[in-house]
Amino acid sequence: MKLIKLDKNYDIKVKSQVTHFLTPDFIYIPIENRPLPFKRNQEIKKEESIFTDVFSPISGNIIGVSNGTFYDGQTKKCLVLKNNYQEKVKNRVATRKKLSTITIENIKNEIKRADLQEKLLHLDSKHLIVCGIDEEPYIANEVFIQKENTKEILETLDALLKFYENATAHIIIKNIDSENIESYSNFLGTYQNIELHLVDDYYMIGEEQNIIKSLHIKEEYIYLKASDVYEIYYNLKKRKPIVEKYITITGDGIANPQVFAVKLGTKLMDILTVNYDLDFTKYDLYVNGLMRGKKINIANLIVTKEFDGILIMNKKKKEPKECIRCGKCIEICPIHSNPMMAYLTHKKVPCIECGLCSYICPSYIHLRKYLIGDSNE
Amino acid sequence: MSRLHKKITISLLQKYYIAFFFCILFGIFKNGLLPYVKGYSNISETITILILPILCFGIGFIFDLIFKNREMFNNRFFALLFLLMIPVQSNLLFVLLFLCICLFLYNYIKKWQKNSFWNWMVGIKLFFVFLLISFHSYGYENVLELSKDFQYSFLDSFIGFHVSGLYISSTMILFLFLFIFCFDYYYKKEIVLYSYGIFGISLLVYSLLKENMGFMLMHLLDSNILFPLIFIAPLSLFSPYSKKGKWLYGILIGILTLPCICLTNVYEGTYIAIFFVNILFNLLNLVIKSERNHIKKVENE
Repeated sequence: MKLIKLDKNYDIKVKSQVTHFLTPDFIYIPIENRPLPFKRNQEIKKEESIFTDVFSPISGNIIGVSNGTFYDGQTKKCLVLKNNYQEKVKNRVATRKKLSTITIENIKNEIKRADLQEKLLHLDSKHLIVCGIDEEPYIANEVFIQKENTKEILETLDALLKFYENATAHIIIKNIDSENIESYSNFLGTYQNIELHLVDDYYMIGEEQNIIKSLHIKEEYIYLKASDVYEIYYNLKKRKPIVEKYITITGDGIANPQVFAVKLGTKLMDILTVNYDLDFTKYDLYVNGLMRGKKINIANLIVTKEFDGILIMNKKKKEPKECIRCGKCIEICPIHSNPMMAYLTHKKVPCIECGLCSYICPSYIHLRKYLIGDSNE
Repeated sequence: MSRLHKKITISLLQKYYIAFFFCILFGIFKNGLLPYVKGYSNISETITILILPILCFGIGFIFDLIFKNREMFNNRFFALLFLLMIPVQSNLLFVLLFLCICLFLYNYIKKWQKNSFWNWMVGIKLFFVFLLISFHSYGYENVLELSKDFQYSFLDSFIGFHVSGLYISSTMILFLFLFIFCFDYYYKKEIVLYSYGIFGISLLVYSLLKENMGFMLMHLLDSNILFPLIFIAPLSLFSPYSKKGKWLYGILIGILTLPCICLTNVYEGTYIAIFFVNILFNLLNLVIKSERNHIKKVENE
């Protein structure tokens, strides 16, 4: 697979500090056809389990059910919680003093995410790969998680390494991420089995297969994102489920792009109206990035684990033209698919939704739309 | 429409237009101004050569308006491309009329020929030449050249003072734009480089066998051969889109050009070669399709 550098607008820069938006008035929790475990007006405490692996990010009262839109454009019914701003916790648990004392049993019991737990229990792994790269241009969640929690990530990796015999941890970041290079360099000396790898600023360089290829790894490995490691830290050290998330609000349509720390289940519009005085109908809004993201109605958009951010872009006049059959979309496709045929014949072809075909098209055709046959695009 | 796109400072189409402008400028000088200054032609003939590109562009523009064309390679582009390659001795009124008919037919036909192998630019050119021959008005020499008062040196040929189409006699301009095009990401340079390379090699072998190196130089620098190789063979709409397809397409054109020139003994040898190879156009894309299926199979295993 040939990796390419994207032509980005380097004028779009996020603020260097994370902005906190942790006291929303309402929280929306997707129900997804599950029976409601609580009654109307019932009080729910912070971090209390609502569904399996779904925890309340705030303490408050259930006020009813409402529709919410998700990152993929789907609308689902959500349980609405009104914040009482008391942050009452059901069971107060003491923070673990040292992560180095954790056992396999702790991993089995305290890691809340099933897929993460399953990954960590591959005890014959020789490499623990931590990818601190945000694939989408202009999204900086992974970068900020590492910047704000460098020590925590290193401490977690050091604690986990003892479960894997002769294993090494590899942290992968881009060579343009100067702040994280500096902060890792300050602490890495004390961790012998943790290595820092710098990679060029290519699109999709952080994909599992590309990292494995660049590191020449042939043994068993565990692949984690920096946010996963922070979640492990949170679960094991604080013994709590993670109910917060970093999201990026950026784009050339706003003057102050920022990374926000928000509660899961917050309505995006609440964050936007408080922080930006804009008429959003005048902009193109892309959820989860310009390459893989979608242009969806954000009026009821809810922040979930899969939501990474929103790009507020100025509307441009580049109208799509007819295909000139240059074949560049086929040349660039990482899975050797044929986006051009999908466009010409309207037949579905295999697609990983990387958006490279749309990026490269000289006629500005949004090829991904034809590949996946998505009307939400 | 503000998704992330590859930055294109000057599009391929704009580069084509810039190349056309310089070709036309030289054509006006060589076939219009020079014969007029030397007293071989009158003012009306010179003005005709001057306004013909504007007329053709205008016709293309009207067709774009009528058929609401939003393609990158639109009627304006094809009108100019057609004008560039017509023989000097063509009846210019006939050119305009034929152009109108062709554009009209093209705008109707293209709806059904999305995956067709038919390179209509080459087809039109060959049919037009056939008509000119039938009407006994076929020829590439301008009035100055017809007078037989001049002997062309090697340098003259390179600059463009040799027998050629109405606006495409400058080999130097063609080479310059080939060089510029080669840096364009979307230009199918492989087709030109392979076809010209293979044509050059076959020409060398043929000239060595014939012991006539002048024949090789004459044809290598002939703008009638270079123009279709640079401007028509790699046209995105009528050429293969896969890497291997482009190589094969270029190689086949290169191989066929020399026999076409030698056998037909007309200036349109390259057009005929492109025309024949275009019949294989869909076949070449199919070859690549199966190659991709093979890749997928291997990946699945």
